[in-house]
Amino acid sequence: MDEIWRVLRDPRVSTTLVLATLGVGGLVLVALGWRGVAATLYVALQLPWLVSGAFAGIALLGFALGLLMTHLERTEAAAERAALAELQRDALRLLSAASRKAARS
Amino acid sequence: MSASLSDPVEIRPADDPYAAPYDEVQGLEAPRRRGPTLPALSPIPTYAGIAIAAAGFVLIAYAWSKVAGIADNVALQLPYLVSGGLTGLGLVMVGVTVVNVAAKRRDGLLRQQQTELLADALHELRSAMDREPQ
Repeated sequence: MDEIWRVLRDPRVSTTLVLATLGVGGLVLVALGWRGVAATLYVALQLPWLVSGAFAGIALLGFALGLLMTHLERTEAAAERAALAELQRDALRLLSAASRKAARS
Repeated sequence: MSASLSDPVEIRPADDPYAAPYDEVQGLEAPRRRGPTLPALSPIPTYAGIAIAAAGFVLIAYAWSKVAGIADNVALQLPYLVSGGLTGLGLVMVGVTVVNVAAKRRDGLLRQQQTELLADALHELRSAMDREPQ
């Protein structure tokens, strides 16, 4: 259980889960909109379902997927920066070793 | 042509990292000086994007309340559908794009800074190895 909480507390995982849930919520809204529209033959009564279900659902889905894409790109960029930082540290270690060697000779 | 350890090494001056000879390398151009822009690390565009997307959702909710309030006339409902629903949808997309662009600018700047630091460290290393007696 502690292991699950530890994984969930990771901002990368929790943000992905929240955004994925929002995306699923958008799909559910579209399904609800379809249900409401299909339940009546009067266009005037169908339109509110169209706006509150389909439009809001598509907006929520687009919002969640857009932010999810941004979040995943940022996670990748952070990993890339960490690798670059490691390279930088290696270069500084090499520089320090070369300086010490030069000072000794 | 390949570089060797005996090649002369020049460290970029701190006040102008794009000074010669780096701006003379083919294919590499110094960034153009533009007018004042929002700093890439500023959180303002991200908040603005979220606010624009939230305004889009509010507009969709407003359109829904108006459309649901007119239960007998489609001709009166359609203008709210278009001006509220579609505009709200558009605002949400614009907001998400603003957040995405802000994140890309921020990551790009951080990556550029880090790459420059790494390049400087490697140049220093090359200079130190050149100074070392053979």
